Amino acid sequence: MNNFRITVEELPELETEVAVSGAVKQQEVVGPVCLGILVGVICGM
Amino acid sequence: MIVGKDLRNWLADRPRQRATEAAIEAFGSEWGLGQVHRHFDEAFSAIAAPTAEKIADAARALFVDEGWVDALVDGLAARLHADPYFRPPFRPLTTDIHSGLLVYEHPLVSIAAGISTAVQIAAKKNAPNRGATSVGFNGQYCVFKFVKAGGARFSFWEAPPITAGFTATEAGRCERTGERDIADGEILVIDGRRQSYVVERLRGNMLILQAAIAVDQAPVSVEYDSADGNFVGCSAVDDTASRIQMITTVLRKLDCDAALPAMADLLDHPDFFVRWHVMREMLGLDVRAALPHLKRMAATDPHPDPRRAARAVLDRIEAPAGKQQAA
Repeated sequence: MNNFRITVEELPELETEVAVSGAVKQQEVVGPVCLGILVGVICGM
Repeated sequence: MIVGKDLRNWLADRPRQRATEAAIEAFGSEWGLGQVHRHFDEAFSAIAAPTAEKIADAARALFVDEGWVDALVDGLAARLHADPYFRPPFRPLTTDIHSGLLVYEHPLVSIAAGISTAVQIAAKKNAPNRGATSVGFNGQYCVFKFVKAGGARFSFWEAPPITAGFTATEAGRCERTGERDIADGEILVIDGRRQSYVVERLRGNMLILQAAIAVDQAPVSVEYDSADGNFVGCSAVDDTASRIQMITTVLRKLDCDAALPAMADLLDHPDFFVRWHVMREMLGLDVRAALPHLKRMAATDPHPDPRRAARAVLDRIEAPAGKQQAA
């Protein structure tokens, strides 16, 4: 433990990778608008 | 930019601009203090021990009478007719397939009114080089009223419920459960934690009311491939979760040791990915201070992913010095 330093980038990621709110990997086919995400995005602007 | 004569005059006329701003504020105030808003407040505040289902029932009841929508749209149209520079005093919610306004906000629920046009939907569906597409499960319980359905036809989809313990390995697949036309005035309740829909066809404009319920929401929204139904990825439902992640990263990069107690409080956050992110940043700031929390996470975190990741780091820390360097 003495002088043991950790570089965050070397720490493991979760097996379930979770992107930031509103991010998508593929184009979405046309479905329900996610109001929760939209509200968050707008509030953050 | 080509500016019309009237706009040029308005831009040069401060009293006229102030009059526009006053009209916007007055409309917002009238709406916020008005009968409809009060009725909504009473309906949602009266719910004892609110659950997503109870809130959805209340929203559904409020959506039966659409007189308030007509009154709201008429009111906005009258103000715009009187002053073309009037802007509705509501947050705009705009995507490539939808233009809406957030007309009501309550801690339990947000209500929006908006339009999707056939042109917008066609442009989205026929975009060149579109690549693979996903069916999205937004993780929220929602009530939709299709005031004007625009001749829409929807397909319906289901997936395993998205719970607090959601993992990529157990996400399963989504399946199409049916398809049918949507009628004018139809109310649809979609549990976005396990249900979704896809607009298969739209002949005209669709005027939609949407109540998005903030209670009992899933930690993540999930994408499944629309062709084979397989899991594609997931993202945070609540933008607050993403903000916490960003802020704790900034605190670590600033070497802000003083923030460690506040960061430790976030290790009880309901979202598993927030808990692990905060743990990582605490370890980056001060291993010694983070260690008791890391041990607790490895032993008792309710989600298997943070438990497993914490155990791996703990094993590395507790390894003999020679092995630490080799790791």
